[in-house]
Amino acid sequence: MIPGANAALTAENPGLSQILVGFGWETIPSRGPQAELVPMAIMCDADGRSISNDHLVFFNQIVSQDGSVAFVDDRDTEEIDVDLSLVPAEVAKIVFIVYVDPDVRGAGNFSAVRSAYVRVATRENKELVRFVVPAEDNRTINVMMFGELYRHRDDWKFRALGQGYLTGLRGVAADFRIDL
Amino acid sequence: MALNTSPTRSDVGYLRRRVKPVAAAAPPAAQPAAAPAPAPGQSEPARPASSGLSLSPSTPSAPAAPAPARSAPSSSGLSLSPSTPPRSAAPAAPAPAATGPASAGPASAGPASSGLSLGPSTPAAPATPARTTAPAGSLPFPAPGIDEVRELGDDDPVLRLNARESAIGSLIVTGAASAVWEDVELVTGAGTADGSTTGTPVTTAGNRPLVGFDDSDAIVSLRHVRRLRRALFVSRGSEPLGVQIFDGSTVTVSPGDEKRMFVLSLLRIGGVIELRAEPVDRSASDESILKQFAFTLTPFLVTRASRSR
Repeated sequence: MIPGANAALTAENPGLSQILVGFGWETIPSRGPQAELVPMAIMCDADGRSISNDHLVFFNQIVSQDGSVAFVDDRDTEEIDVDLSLVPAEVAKIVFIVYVDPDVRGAGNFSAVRSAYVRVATRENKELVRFVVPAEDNRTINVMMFGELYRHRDDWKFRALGQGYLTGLRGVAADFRIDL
Repeated sequence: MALNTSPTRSDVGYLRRRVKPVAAAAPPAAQPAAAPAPAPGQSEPARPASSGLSLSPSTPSAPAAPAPARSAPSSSGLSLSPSTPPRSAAPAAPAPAATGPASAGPASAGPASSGLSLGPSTPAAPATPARTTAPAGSLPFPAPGIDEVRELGDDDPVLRLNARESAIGSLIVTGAASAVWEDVELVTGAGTADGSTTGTPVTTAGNRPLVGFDDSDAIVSLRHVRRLRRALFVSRGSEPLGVQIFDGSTVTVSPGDEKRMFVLSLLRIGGVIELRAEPVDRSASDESILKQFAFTLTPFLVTRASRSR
């Protein structure tokens, strides 16, 4: 996929309900502090705002209240499982971001990150789509939107994004109206 | 050994800490009441806190209190097996590393009359999703957030960060002269603002210490908060302890008075961090404070790659 492209998930795969969203990347080794990437899922309403602060899923808030989105650390570097049948109707899309942990001791950007990808697969790990995030000049990017699941009529689709933030999690918090 | 089969006390704050989160799919009521069984696969149950909850100097028995059972780190806090001799410091000492199913089930060893539904008496337990974290409802008692407390001290001794505040960026402690940390494997070390360390440092995958000093500030790497069990920060100068988190929220710690000062205790409960101001004798040395809070520094062994001949 290329940035901006989308793919039908449930329309092409009738009966598809449980999917996994896998993330992976490589980091150029360093003796000093290294960038530590953290995936996060944000469950948004039709206006693109997070439903609430509890509608975030990441390694320390690992299941959404409705149980539809859950953080796992399994086959890929990181993995988030989504049960589409459990996603509340008010959720119009689920945005998947990956942020560089803003540790004050440095290395807070994507400059050392290579071969980053996001992929969507069935629960049986049959890959449906894969988006390799373009490796451009990422020295100033500290949060990247990898992709999003979104409702299209009665179906779910996946859109590749690959858009970076220069303003870090503060920018994400402002855009999605969440407290971080 | 006589077992206490009375129901779990929920009216006593300290005991409530011992209540482990019960899986949503808990076994039906066929089992006689009893204590909740730890959920298998739950890697990080809301652990009872052994850090200085009752360790103020006014407690004469403090040094003997919560020793984190270093000799048997894999044992659970229940230690109900009849083959396990009672520990000398056992009293209400909450045990540290309860490691899920392994610690829950000395099945064959436990007397059937114990009334505790551990191990094989709860066959339905594996239905619990392995990834569920401690539900918010399992937190021991309500506590204010960092925005509700200006100063930790006698009036407001404790605050609790939420899951996001506990996991993003760095927790910065200013004014600390020394810090001591203990990770989930009970690896313990200490450092001072001048850069010296003792015990065992814990380094994260990002090549940063889990807890360490940087430009005279103590820093906790929150990306790896789930590796941290507890930490303690001690101020020795005129500058009070202060805490800052990623969103810019801050809180200070009361400097105390002539006789006593406050140290800052950091404790991870499930996925959230609890900060406490704990009073200690102002004249107490760092060593005695570590002893009061049951920190035992683990030796640091520097390993070398083997040389081929």
